[in-house]
Amino acid sequence: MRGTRAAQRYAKAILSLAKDKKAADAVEKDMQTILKTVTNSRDLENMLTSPVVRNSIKKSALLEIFKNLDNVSKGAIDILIENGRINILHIVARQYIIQYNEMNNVRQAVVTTAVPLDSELEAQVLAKVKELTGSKATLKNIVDEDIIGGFILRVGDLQYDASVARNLSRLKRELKDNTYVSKF
Amino acid sequence: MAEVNPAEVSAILKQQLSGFESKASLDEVGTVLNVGDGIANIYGLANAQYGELVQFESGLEGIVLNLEEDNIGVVLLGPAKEIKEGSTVKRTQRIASINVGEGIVGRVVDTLGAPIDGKGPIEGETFEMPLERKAPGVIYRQPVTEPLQTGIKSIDAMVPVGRGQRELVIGDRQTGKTTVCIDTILNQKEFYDAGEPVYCIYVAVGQKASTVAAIAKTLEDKGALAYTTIVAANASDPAPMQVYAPFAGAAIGEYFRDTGRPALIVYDDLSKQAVAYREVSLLLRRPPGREAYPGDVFFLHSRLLERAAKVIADDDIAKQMNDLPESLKGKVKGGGSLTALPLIETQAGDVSAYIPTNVISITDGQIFLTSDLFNSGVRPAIDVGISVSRVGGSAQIKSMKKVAGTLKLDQAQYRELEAFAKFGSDLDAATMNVIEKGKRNVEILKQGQNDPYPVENQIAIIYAGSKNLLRDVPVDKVKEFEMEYLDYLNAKHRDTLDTLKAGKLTDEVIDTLTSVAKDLSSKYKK
Repeated sequence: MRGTRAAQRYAKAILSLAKDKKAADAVEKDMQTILKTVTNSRDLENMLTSPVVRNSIKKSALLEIFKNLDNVSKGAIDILIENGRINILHIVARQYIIQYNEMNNVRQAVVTTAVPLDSELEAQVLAKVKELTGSKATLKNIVDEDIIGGFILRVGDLQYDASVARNLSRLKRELKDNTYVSKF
Repeated sequence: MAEVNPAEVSAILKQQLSGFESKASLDEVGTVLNVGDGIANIYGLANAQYGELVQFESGLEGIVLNLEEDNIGVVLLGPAKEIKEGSTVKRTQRIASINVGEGIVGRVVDTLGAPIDGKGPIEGETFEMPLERKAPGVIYRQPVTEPLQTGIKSIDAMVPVGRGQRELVIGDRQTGKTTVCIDTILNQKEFYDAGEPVYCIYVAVGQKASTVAAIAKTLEDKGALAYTTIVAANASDPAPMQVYAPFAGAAIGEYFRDTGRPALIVYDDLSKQAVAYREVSLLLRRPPGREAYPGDVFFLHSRLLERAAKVIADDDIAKQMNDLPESLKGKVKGGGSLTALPLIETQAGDVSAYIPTNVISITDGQIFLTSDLFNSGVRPAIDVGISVSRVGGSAQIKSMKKVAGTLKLDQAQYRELEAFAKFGSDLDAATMNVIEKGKRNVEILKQGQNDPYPVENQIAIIYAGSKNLLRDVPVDKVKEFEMEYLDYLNAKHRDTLDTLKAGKLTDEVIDTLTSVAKDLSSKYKK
């Protein structure tokens, strides 16, 4: 992803500073807010990436939008603006959350299901995550009817696919792959 | 259309479904960042290895060729049409490899070993052979000593190829490079029939599907498909498939080589493979060098051709060979060989281009085909003056070595004097003698397509030519004489030919050959 490399370094620095100031949790909340706001608002993202908008305007707008930020977060926005890197703000926020979770050994699990999960199923899924990765997880549920049934659990780079759609597509492939048909 | 038997249909369906398990899978996955031109960049898959196969949602596979800090570059082994940005890619934990077994003989497969000839799955036990494998080390090799009979008179006599050798076949388009190699494959039928097959692998890179089909048909018609495997990456296949096809062929060859059997592999042709590799490299943004080829195009060919080898005869040493695939351990036998005949197409006879010079320097000699000779009717159009075999000499059978010893020199003298002959007839007798003999030798060395000669026949006719026994035969009757002479020898003097085949050239044999040739040639005397 574009800017990921730079974002990783900024996130690392922010996290390290926040830890020293014992504000890591507060900054994490800020970053969640920033990530959510920026990704949900196309206008805001456009403004941040636009080279036409002056840095001072970007800064005042950001301070207006995010009023109750921790000092570390404010400092982070300052330094990003100063270095001309404010366009990757949301990527920095995402990387911060990833690194924060890594530090606390908490991972985000994304569960895709055909129907919304109830709390009992959620508990079962969390147990499965624990079994697969051995770490705690926060759960995010995506409802996608295309998978027909079952679920797809993804934790970081690991994916546990128990969906009906996958089995069907595999079956289709296996039937299509006919070695009794000449291909040249 | 043949009638379809319902029982057969259900049997095939059942077979296809028998391997199907509806189990959930736990995979390492990444996300496609961008895709285009047969290359995909993938975010995640932090543990993927170089050369590993990855699988896309559609079932399409790719090979990991670039490992960067936060993404990996993958070349796709098929059309990219179903891949979208954001779709998942999973590791297969498998280094690109091909499943080889006895059942692969007689089949046409693609780069990944999947049969494409419509004859059903590969039968029998298969062994997973990696496409990229290090060549055997020095200790596990031995010098080339046995001949690989090509069945082509001018090659077997003057540029002999030994088992385990790498002999380049080079020439312009339409000079008969493929024909030379196909004839060599056809000539191995003799050994197949005798129960000591030389397993042949024909790798077609970037050729028309119709050409490959025609070659498959020729081999089948002549009964050569029984010991031959065709690996095809046609012109319409993606560039990575074409790059890896020779490696797949080498992996198949190594299976035979390491199980103690002789194998012959034809790479048709490596210039197209280099072009495909250039395409892949440029798309992966690797810096271009001379003729826009990447810097490691030499290594691409050297590591491929280095895998052709004669393995040491000692089983115990052979068993410890380096980089043996897990699947093959315990099956290794010594004494096997892999002979490689790489082909290179030159542009307008330019051998000093990048790829030809590279491959010339890697191989143990070259067979040079020229369009001038081809057009003047000398076919196979082998230019013996600049064709060499650096190691094959020690592999030639004794009788052939004795008979053909002077042939190359004679022909060199003839070509030198040939120019004079064109100006007039005022030449002394000795010169005329050389020219007349040379003309007849050229006729003798001509040979039809798909018409390989057994070695004893070659020796018999070359003996007649080099001893100038054909001086009474007019040049345009040499072919006629040759046929008559060989038919007569085969019918009446089989024992003489058998002695020649065994590598002996006794006085008795010489007497027989001389008297038969003299008798027959007197008929042509005016």
